[in-house]
Amino acid sequence: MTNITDNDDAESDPWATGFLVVLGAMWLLVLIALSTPEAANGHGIQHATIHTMDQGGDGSQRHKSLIVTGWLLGSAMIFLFTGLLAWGSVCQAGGMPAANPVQSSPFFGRLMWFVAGGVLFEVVFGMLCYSYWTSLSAPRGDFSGPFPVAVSWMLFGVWLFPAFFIVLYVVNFHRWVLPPENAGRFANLVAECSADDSSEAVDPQGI
Amino acid sequence: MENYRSLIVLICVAAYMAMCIGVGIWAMRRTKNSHDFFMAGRHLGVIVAGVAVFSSTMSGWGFVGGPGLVYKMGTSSFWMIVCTSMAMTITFYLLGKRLRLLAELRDPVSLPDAVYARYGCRSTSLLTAVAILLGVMGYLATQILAMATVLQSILANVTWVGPLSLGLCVAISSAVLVFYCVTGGIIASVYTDLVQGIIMVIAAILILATAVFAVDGGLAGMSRTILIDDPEAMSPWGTLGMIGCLSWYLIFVLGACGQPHVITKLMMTRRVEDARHMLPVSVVGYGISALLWIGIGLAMRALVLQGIHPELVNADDAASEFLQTYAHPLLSGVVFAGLLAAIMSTADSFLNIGAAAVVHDIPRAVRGHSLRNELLWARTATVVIAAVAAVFALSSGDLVALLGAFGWSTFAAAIVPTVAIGFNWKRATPLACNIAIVSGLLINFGLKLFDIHLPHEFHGGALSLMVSLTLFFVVSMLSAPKPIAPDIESVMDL
Repeated sequence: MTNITDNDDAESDPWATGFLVVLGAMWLLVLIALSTPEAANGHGIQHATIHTMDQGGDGSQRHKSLIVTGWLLGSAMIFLFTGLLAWGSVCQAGGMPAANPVQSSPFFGRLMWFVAGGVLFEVVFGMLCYSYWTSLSAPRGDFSGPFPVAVSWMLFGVWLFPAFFIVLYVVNFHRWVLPPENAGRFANLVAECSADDSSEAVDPQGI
Repeated sequence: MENYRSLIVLICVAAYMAMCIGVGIWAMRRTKNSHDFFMAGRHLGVIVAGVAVFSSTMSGWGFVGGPGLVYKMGTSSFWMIVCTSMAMTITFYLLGKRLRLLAELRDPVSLPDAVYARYGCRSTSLLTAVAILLGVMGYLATQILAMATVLQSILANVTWVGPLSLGLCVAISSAVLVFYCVTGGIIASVYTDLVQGIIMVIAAILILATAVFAVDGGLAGMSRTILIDDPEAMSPWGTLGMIGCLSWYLIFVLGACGQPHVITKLMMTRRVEDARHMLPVSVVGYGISALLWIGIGLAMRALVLQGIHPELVNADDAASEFLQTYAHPLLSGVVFAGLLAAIMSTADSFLNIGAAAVVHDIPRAVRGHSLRNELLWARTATVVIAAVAAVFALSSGDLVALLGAFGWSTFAAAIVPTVAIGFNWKRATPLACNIAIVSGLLINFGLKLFDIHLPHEFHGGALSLMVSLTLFFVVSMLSAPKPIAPDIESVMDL
């Protein structure tokens, strides 16, 4: 089993191209952010009376020119993360159908779960940014539970939302990740390799 | 009262250390060869492996530095917590099944072994091992230093022991760590991780409850106090600001699937299907243990702002001051044991992968075969690496902190493209991996060595990860594809 074969089916890969495009967008946004002049309190200043603490100061002053760039950067990151999850799921079950992926209903159905999850995650992050921006005009305003609304979106939204993808992984493990036919193919592969190893001279390099 | 408190803390910590030694002795009988030493013979169950994943991720830094960051910067460091659910999910989606299948097919004993199996290229395997070793030395030295500092502060309050030198505390704590790592290898490491994880979870729940009762109005009271003083400190970005926080989110989400001490555990499970339940176990475990970070951090900031507690001399004292002032002595004892547990559970994983790099991966990549009597050499290497890291921790001053900070980002930039992407993408080439690893090392080391800070405190590790990922994709697409061994290709098709 140590023979090497040419990998000829991977010449064009829409996923890799897609990831490169998202990375390109992230580069653009990062460069815009880094070239935006930073306010004096851009990453915090020493607290006026307690010297081991920092203060953020005026939020609108330091974030006015960055909020849209930041929102887009965060959104691009979520797009990349969700894309990686969808890609992982598609790869896990034997790869994307080569002929016409969109017309392949199992692939399409699975992809839709990730599209839906990604859109919802983008909404959560968008609500975080929006509620932060509105809080700047009323900084001691609304609470949601024990935290200000924007922090609640972070803790109960950004932190907990990936549970959606975790549930998908757990519930669909035997359909998307390790279908019984793939488990069978793997068992055969291991058996084949064991048989080869016992009949052939072992490669001195080990693995 | 202070003596009584210190004695209880000392008893808890001593009991914890005795447990670690006991596990080491028990695991020694189950460690018969280097495969058992590095890979636990692939016999781990769901709970053991799942808890080991989260307890290796939550280091002592999270238990000590985390609350300190909340005290200093408000909610900025919450991004390091909220990232973990997505980080672990991506790790399992991309690598949970893939690494486990490869482990069963080729029987690798380390991550560079798996890299060699995937790419068939010794230089890629060697560079992976070198990146791991560099990251390990820095991380391990900081963990040993943290362990000794905690032990020193515990013993300083016990009158009949008195203050001990940092060097002696390094020797005591390293001796316990080395004992169970040498005797039981990764088996001892993961089973101590199990106990350590359970201690962390219990400690975090109790501490959150204590924090809620320590401040008038509970969590809402803390939030209002912080908000009134500085609304930004209680905003989603804290005092650090939006761009800095988002860069943390990027490096800690994507970087997680490049942490070798975490992802090697995905190869150690009994069955491929175990990944299915390991994911929720790891995410829930980490989520609960992070409550300590949030609870102590917010409580200490609020208590100091209210004037109830004096200003801390150092932000990193937040956890220890809270425990000494507001927690029941028994809870203090459990949490201090949990603190040592958090440090040791990360350190033991580093010792193990560092030993694998020295006695297995580098000789194999350079000479084409590993050392004879690998188990003996692995045990020897574990002692030597711990000793070197301990000396390094005591003698090299700022360099320890530099390499400690360098660890996560180095692993992320080197291993995320090579392993997390490359093990799922057939078009990935060894040349692209080599360029990604070298670029990651150079950028991270350069930024730290020359103390370069990016505007808006954009995290240097996030930048190096973006560079290495971009180079990896572009070079892979432009370079000639390298043939893949048929059995590996079959695994990549499953």
